[in-house]
Amino acid sequence: MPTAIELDCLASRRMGGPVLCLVASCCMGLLARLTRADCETIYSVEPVALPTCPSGNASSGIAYGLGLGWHVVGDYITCFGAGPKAFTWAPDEGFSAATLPSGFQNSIATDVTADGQVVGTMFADLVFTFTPFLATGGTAVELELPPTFTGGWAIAVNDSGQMAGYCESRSSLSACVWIDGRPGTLELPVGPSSKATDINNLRQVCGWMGVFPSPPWSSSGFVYDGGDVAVIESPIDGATVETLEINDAGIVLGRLDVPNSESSGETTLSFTWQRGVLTMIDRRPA
Amino acid sequence: MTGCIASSINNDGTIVGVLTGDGIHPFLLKDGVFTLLNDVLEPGTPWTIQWAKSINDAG
Repeated sequence: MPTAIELDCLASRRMGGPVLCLVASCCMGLLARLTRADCETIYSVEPVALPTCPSGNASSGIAYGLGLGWHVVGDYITCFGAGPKAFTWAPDEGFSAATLPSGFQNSIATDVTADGQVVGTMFADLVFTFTPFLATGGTAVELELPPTFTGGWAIAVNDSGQMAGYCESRSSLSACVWIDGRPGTLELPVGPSSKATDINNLRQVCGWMGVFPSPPWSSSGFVYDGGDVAVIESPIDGATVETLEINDAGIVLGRLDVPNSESSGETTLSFTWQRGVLTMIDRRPA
Repeated sequence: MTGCIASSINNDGTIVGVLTGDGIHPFLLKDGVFTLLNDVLEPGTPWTIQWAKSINDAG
Protein backbone atom coordinates (compact mmCIF):
# COMPACT_ATOMS: atom_id res chain seq x y z
CA MET A 1 0.00 0.00 0.00
CA PRO A 2 1.25 3.49 -0.71
CA THR A 3 1.75 5.72 2.26
CA ALA A 4 -0.29 8.88 2.63
CA ILE A 5 2.53 11.05 1.42
CA GLU A 6 3.02 8.85 -1.61
CA LEU A 7 -0.66 9.22 -2.41
CA ASP A 8 -0.28 13.00 -2.20
CA CYS A 9 2.62 12.77 -4.57
CA LEU A 10 0.75 10.58 -7.01
CA ALA A 11 -2.26 12.88 -6.94
CA SER A 12 -0.10 15.81 -8.00
CA ARG A 13 1.76 13.88 -10.60
CA ARG A 14 0.85 15.89 -13.67
CA MET A 15 0.30 19.56 -13.05
CA GLY A 16 1.02 21.68 -16.12
CA GLY A 17 4.00 23.91 -16.35
CA PRO A 18 5.89 26.53 -18.23
CA VAL A 19 6.20 26.66 -21.96
CA LEU A 20 9.73 26.25 -23.12
CA CYS A 21 11.81 26.65 -26.18
CA LEU A 22 13.99 23.65 -26.84
CA VAL A 23 16.99 22.87 -28.97
CA ALA A 24 15.76 20.77 -31.85
CA SER A 25 13.89 21.16 -35.11
CA CYS A 26 10.71 21.08 -33.06
CA CYS A 27 11.53 24.06 -30.96
CA MET A 28 8.63 24.35 -28.56
CA GLY A 29 7.39 22.23 -25.75
CA LEU A 30 5.45 22.03 -22.57
CA LEU A 31 7.26 21.34 -19.34
CA ALA A 32 5.12 19.14 -17.14
CA ARG A 33 5.88 19.04 -13.46
CA LEU A 34 6.21 15.55 -12.06
CA THR A 35 6.51 14.65 -8.43
CA ARG A 36 8.46 11.50 -7.76
CA ALA A 37 7.60 9.06 -5.01
CA ASP A 38 10.30 10.68 -2.88
CA CYS A 39 8.53 14.03 -3.46
CA GLU A 40 11.44 15.52 -5.40
CA THR A 41 10.07 17.69 -8.23
CA ILE A 42 11.32 16.99 -11.72
CA TYR A 43 10.01 18.01 -15.11
CA SER A 44 9.24 16.13 -18.30
CA VAL A 45 9.26 17.71 -21.74
CA GLU A 46 6.31 17.33 -24.10
CA PRO A 47 7.32 18.67 -27.52
CA VAL A 48 4.78 20.59 -29.58
CA ALA A 49 4.44 18.87 -32.95
CA LEU A 50 4.08 21.38 -35.79
CA PRO A 51 2.88 20.62 -39.33
CA THR A 52 5.58 20.27 -41.96
CA CYS A 53 5.96 22.15 -45.21
CA PRO A 54 4.90 20.13 -48.29
CA SER A 55 8.57 20.19 -49.32
CA GLY A 56 9.37 18.30 -46.15
CA ASN A 57 11.06 21.18 -44.38
CA ALA A 58 10.55 21.34 -40.65
CA SER A 59 8.45 24.15 -39.26
CA SER A 60 9.64 26.65 -36.72
CA GLY A 61 7.57 28.42 -34.15
CA ILE A 62 7.42 30.55 -31.05
CA ALA A 63 5.16 29.97 -28.06
CA TYR A 64 3.86 33.07 -26.29
CA GLY A 65 1.13 31.93 -23.94
CA LEU A 66 0.02 29.04 -21.77
CA GLY A 67 -3.45 28.67 -20.27
CA LEU A 68 -4.74 26.73 -17.32
CA GLY A 69 -6.39 24.36 -19.79
CA TRP A 70 -2.90 23.34 -21.03
CA HIS A 71 -3.36 25.34 -24.24
CA VAL A 72 -0.11 26.61 -25.72
CA VAL A 73 -0.51 29.48 -28.21
CA GLY A 74 1.96 31.15 -30.53
CA ASP A 75 2.86 31.30 -34.18
CA TYR A 76 4.62 29.00 -36.61
CA ILE A 77 6.09 29.21 -40.08
CA THR A 78 5.90 26.12 -42.23
CA CYS A 79 7.60 27.07 -45.48
CA PHE A 80 10.37 29.39 -46.56
CA GLY A 81 8.86 32.75 -47.41
CA ALA A 82 5.57 32.05 -45.68
CA GLY A 83 4.22 34.37 -43.03
CA PRO A 84 3.44 33.39 -39.43
CA LYS A 85 0.27 31.50 -38.56
CA ALA A 86 -1.35 31.52 -35.13
CA PHE A 87 -1.76 28.11 -33.53
CA THR A 88 -3.18 26.45 -30.45
CA TRP A 89 -1.81 23.18 -29.12
CA ALA A 90 -2.77 21.06 -26.14
CA PRO A 91 -1.59 17.58 -25.17
CA ASP A 92 -5.05 16.05 -25.46
CA GLU A 93 -6.25 18.12 -28.42
CA GLY A 94 -3.15 18.35 -30.57
CA PHE A 95 -2.34 21.15 -32.97
CA SER A 96 -4.77 23.51 -34.69
CA ALA A 97 -4.19 26.63 -36.74
CA ALA A 98 -6.53 29.57 -36.32
CA THR A 99 -9.15 30.12 -39.03
CA LEU A 100 -8.88 33.73 -40.18
CA PRO A 101 -11.46 36.05 -41.75
CA SER A 102 -11.28 36.62 -45.48
CA GLY A 103 -8.40 38.84 -46.52
CA PHE A 104 -5.99 37.78 -43.78
CA GLN A 105 -3.26 35.21 -44.34
CA ASN A 106 -0.97 35.76 -41.35
CA SER A 107 -1.51 35.80 -37.62
CA ILE A 108 0.21 35.63 -34.24
CA ALA A 109 -1.47 34.40 -31.04
CA THR A 110 -0.16 35.80 -27.76
CA ASP A 111 -2.51 34.77 -24.94
CA VAL A 112 -5.22 32.27 -24.08
CA THR A 113 -7.87 32.02 -21.39
CA ALA A 114 -8.52 29.00 -19.21
CA ASP A 115 -11.36 28.00 -21.54
CA GLY A 116 -9.33 28.39 -24.73
CA GLN A 117 -10.22 31.86 -26.08
CA VAL A 118 -7.19 33.20 -27.95
CA VAL A 119 -6.08 36.75 -28.73
CA GLY A 120 -3.45 38.17 -31.02
CA THR A 121 -3.07 40.02 -34.27
CA MET A 122 -3.45 39.22 -37.96
CA PHE A 123 -2.41 40.83 -41.23
CA ALA A 124 -2.55 40.31 -44.97
CA ASP A 125 0.41 39.25 -47.11
CA LEU A 126 2.71 42.21 -47.80
CA VAL A 127 0.47 44.51 -45.75
CA PHE A 128 1.88 45.10 -42.31
CA THR A 129 -1.15 46.74 -40.77
CA PHE A 130 -1.94 44.65 -37.73
CA THR A 131 -5.55 43.90 -36.89
CA PRO A 132 -6.42 42.62 -33.40
CA PHE A 133 -8.42 39.40 -33.14
CA LEU A 134 -10.24 37.19 -30.66
CA ALA A 135 -10.57 33.52 -31.58
CA THR A 136 -13.19 31.29 -30.03
CA GLY A 137 -13.33 27.66 -31.04
CA GLY A 138 -10.41 28.24 -33.39
CA THR A 139 -12.13 30.91 -35.50
CA ALA A 140 -10.73 34.45 -35.31
CA VAL A 141 -12.90 37.55 -35.53
CA GLU A 142 -11.65 41.07 -36.03
CA LEU A 143 -11.83 43.34 -32.98
CA GLU A 144 -13.24 46.82 -33.29
CA LEU A 145 -10.83 49.77 -33.10
CA PRO A 146 -11.48 53.18 -31.55
CA PRO A 147 -12.16 56.01 -34.00
CA THR A 148 -9.06 57.32 -35.86
CA PHE A 149 -7.05 54.14 -35.21
CA THR A 150 -6.10 51.91 -38.09
CA GLY A 151 -4.56 48.84 -36.48
CA GLY A 152 -3.70 47.10 -33.26
CA TRP A 153 -2.88 43.98 -31.32
CA ALA A 154 -4.80 42.27 -28.53
CA ILE A 155 -1.82 41.10 -26.52
CA ALA A 156 -3.49 39.68 -23.42
CA VAL A 157 -6.88 38.40 -22.28
CA ASN A 158 -8.16 37.66 -18.79
CA ASP A 159 -10.55 34.92 -17.82
CA SER A 160 -13.56 37.24 -18.27
CA GLY A 161 -12.60 37.86 -21.90
CA GLN A 162 -11.40 41.41 -21.24
CA MET A 163 -8.44 42.23 -23.46
CA ALA A 164 -5.47 44.60 -23.44
CA GLY A 165 -2.97 45.60 -26.08
CA TYR A 166 -2.42 48.56 -28.31
CA CYS A 167 -4.13 50.52 -31.05
CA GLU A 168 -2.09 52.13 -33.78
CA SER A 169 -2.52 55.38 -35.64
CA ARG A 170 -0.26 56.90 -38.25
CA SER A 171 1.91 58.59 -35.64
CA SER A 172 1.88 56.52 -32.47
CA LEU A 173 0.79 53.52 -30.45
CA SER A 174 -1.81 53.84 -27.70
CA ALA A 175 -2.58 51.39 -24.91
CA CYS A 176 -6.01 49.89 -25.59
CA VAL A 177 -8.45 47.66 -23.78
CA TRP A 178 -11.50 45.81 -25.02
CA ILE A 179 -14.21 45.44 -22.38
CA ASP A 180 -17.30 43.50 -23.47
CA GLY A 181 -15.83 43.73 -26.95
CA ARG A 182 -15.81 47.54 -26.97
CA PRO A 183 -12.43 49.22 -27.52
CA GLY A 184 -11.05 52.12 -25.54
CA THR A 185 -7.74 53.86 -25.07
CA LEU A 186 -6.17 54.47 -21.65
CA GLU A 187 -5.55 58.03 -20.44
CA LEU A 188 -1.90 57.99 -19.38
CA PRO A 189 0.40 60.74 -18.06
CA VAL A 190 3.44 60.01 -20.27
CA GLY A 191 3.55 59.85 -24.06
CA PRO A 192 3.23 60.07 -26.91
CA SER A 193 3.16 56.29 -27.21
CA SER A 194 1.98 53.54 -24.91
CA LYS A 195 1.26 49.84 -24.97
CA ALA A 196 -0.71 47.65 -22.57
CA THR A 197 0.94 44.29 -22.10
CA ASP A 198 -1.36 42.42 -19.70
CA ILE A 199 -4.72 42.53 -17.92
CA ASN A 200 -5.44 40.50 -14.80
CA ASN A 201 -8.71 39.11 -13.53
CA LEU A 202 -9.29 42.30 -11.47
CA ARG A 203 -9.13 44.34 -14.68
CA GLN A 204 -5.82 45.95 -13.66
CA VAL A 205 -3.74 46.69 -16.74
CA CYS A 206 0.04 46.99 -16.96
CA GLY A 207 2.12 48.40 -19.77
CA TRP A 208 4.68 51.01 -20.74
CA MET A 209 4.42 54.62 -21.93
CA GLY A 210 6.95 56.98 -23.44
CA VAL A 211 8.81 57.69 -26.65
CA PHE A 212 8.85 54.89 -29.18
CA PRO A 213 10.22 54.03 -31.65
CA SER A 214 12.23 57.19 -32.25
CA PRO A 215 15.61 57.05 -30.52
CA PRO A 216 16.54 57.67 -27.83
CA TRP A 217 13.74 55.40 -26.65
CA SER A 218 12.61 56.23 -23.15
CA SER A 219 9.77 54.68 -21.24
CA SER A 220 8.12 54.24 -17.88
CA GLY A 221 5.88 51.43 -16.78
CA PHE A 222 2.31 51.88 -15.61
CA VAL A 223 -0.48 50.10 -13.81
CA TYR A 224 -3.96 51.31 -14.76
CA ASP A 225 -6.64 50.45 -12.23
CA GLY A 226 -10.10 51.86 -12.83
CA GLY A 227 -8.80 55.22 -13.98
CA ASP A 228 -6.00 55.50 -11.41
CA VAL A 229 -2.51 55.27 -12.86
CA ALA A 230 0.60 54.23 -10.95
CA VAL A 231 3.88 55.07 -12.70
CA ILE A 232 6.79 52.62 -12.56
CA GLU A 233 10.06 54.52 -12.91
CA SER A 234 13.43 52.94 -13.51
CA PRO A 235 15.74 52.96 -10.48
CA ILE A 236 18.68 53.14 -12.90
CA ASP A 237 19.37 56.32 -14.88
CA GLY A 238 18.95 55.91 -18.61
CA ALA A 239 17.25 52.52 -18.44
CA THR A 240 14.01 51.88 -20.29
CA VAL A 241 11.16 50.15 -18.50
CA GLU A 242 9.12 47.40 -20.11
CA THR A 243 6.37 45.60 -18.24
CA LEU A 244 5.38 42.06 -19.14
CA GLU A 245 2.61 40.71 -16.95
CA ILE A 246 0.45 41.54 -13.93
CA ASN A 247 -0.91 38.74 -11.77
CA ASP A 248 -4.08 38.73 -9.68
CA ALA A 249 -2.14 39.92 -6.62
CA GLY A 250 -1.22 43.05 -8.54
CA ILE A 251 2.43 42.04 -8.89
CA VAL A 252 3.93 43.38 -12.11
CA LEU A 253 6.82 41.56 -13.79
CA GLY A 254 9.03 43.81 -15.88
CA ARG A 255 12.43 44.40 -17.38
CA LEU A 256 14.96 47.21 -17.51
CA ASP A 257 17.22 47.65 -20.51
CA VAL A 258 20.33 49.33 -19.15
CA PRO A 259 22.83 50.93 -21.56
CA ASN A 260 26.22 49.32 -21.19
CA SER A 261 28.87 52.02 -20.90
CA GLU A 262 31.63 49.58 -21.95
CA SER A 263 29.95 48.52 -25.19
CA SER A 264 27.20 49.68 -27.49
CA GLY A 265 24.85 47.03 -26.16
CA GLU A 266 22.44 46.81 -23.27
CA THR A 267 22.11 44.61 -20.23
CA THR A 268 18.64 43.37 -19.40
CA LEU A 269 17.61 43.17 -15.77
CA SER A 270 14.23 42.15 -14.39
CA PHE A 271 12.06 43.33 -11.55
CA THR A 272 8.79 42.89 -9.75
CA TRP A 273 6.64 45.82 -8.66
CA GLN A 274 3.75 45.89 -6.24
CA ARG A 275 2.00 48.87 -4.63
CA GLY A 276 4.83 51.26 -5.40
CA VAL A 277 7.69 48.98 -4.36
CA LEU A 278 10.11 47.85 -7.08
CA THR A 279 12.29 44.84 -6.31
CA MET A 280 15.09 43.72 -8.59
CA ILE A 281 15.26 40.01 -9.38
CA ASP A 282 18.81 39.19 -8.50
CA ARG A 283 20.54 35.85 -8.28
CA ARG A 284 23.76 36.37 -6.43
CA PRO A 285 26.43 33.70 -6.61
CA ALA A 286 25.84 30.90 -4.08
CA MET B 1 25.57 35.55 -14.51
CA THR B 2 25.09 39.26 -15.00
CA GLY B 3 21.64 39.53 -16.54
CA CYS B 4 18.15 38.28 -15.86
CA ILE B 5 15.46 38.19 -18.53
CA ALA B 6 12.23 37.26 -16.80
CA SER B 7 9.33 36.20 -19.02
CA SER B 8 6.28 35.33 -16.97
CA ILE B 9 4.73 35.33 -13.49
CA ASN B 10 1.77 33.32 -12.25
CA ASN B 11 -0.73 34.07 -9.51
CA ASP B 12 1.35 32.60 -6.70
CA GLY B 13 4.33 34.74 -7.75
CA THR B 14 6.44 32.05 -9.39
CA ILE B 15 8.57 33.54 -12.15
CA VAL B 16 10.27 31.95 -15.17
CA GLY B 17 12.88 33.34 -17.53
CA VAL B 18 16.57 33.04 -18.27
CA LEU B 19 19.74 34.11 -16.53
CA THR B 20 22.44 35.43 -18.84
CA GLY B 21 26.10 36.31 -18.70
CA ASP B 22 27.93 33.00 -19.05
CA GLY B 23 25.42 31.34 -21.33
CA ILE B 24 21.66 31.13 -21.21
CA HIS B 25 20.17 29.39 -18.18
CA PRO B 26 16.39 28.96 -18.01
CA PHE B 27 15.17 29.33 -14.44
CA LEU B 28 12.15 29.07 -12.22
CA LEU B 29 12.04 31.38 -9.19
CA LYS B 30 9.68 30.36 -6.40
CA ASP B 31 9.68 31.65 -2.84
CA GLY B 32 13.06 33.28 -3.42
CA VAL B 33 14.72 30.07 -4.60
CA PHE B 34 16.15 29.85 -8.12
CA THR B 35 15.95 26.47 -9.85
CA LEU B 36 17.86 25.99 -13.09
CA LEU B 37 15.41 24.02 -15.19
CA ASN B 38 17.97 21.98 -17.08
CA ASP B 39 19.08 20.59 -13.70
CA VAL B 40 15.66 19.13 -12.90
CA LEU B 41 14.63 17.38 -16.10
CA GLU B 42 13.70 13.72 -16.15
CA PRO B 43 16.80 11.53 -16.30
CA GLY B 44 17.61 10.49 -19.85
CA THR B 45 15.67 13.27 -21.58
CA PRO B 46 17.12 14.18 -24.99
CA TRP B 47 16.03 17.80 -24.59
CA THR B 48 17.86 20.87 -23.47
CA ILE B 49 15.73 23.83 -22.50
CA GLN B 50 16.73 27.12 -24.06
CA TRP B 51 14.11 29.52 -22.75
CA ALA B 52 11.21 29.43 -20.32
CA LYS B 53 8.52 31.61 -21.84
CA SER B 54 5.36 31.30 -19.76
CA ILE B 55 4.04 29.72 -16.59
CA ASN B 56 0.44 29.01 -15.70
CA ASP B 57 -1.23 28.81 -12.30
CA ALA B 58 -0.62 25.07 -12.10
CA GLY B 59 3.08 25.84 -11.95
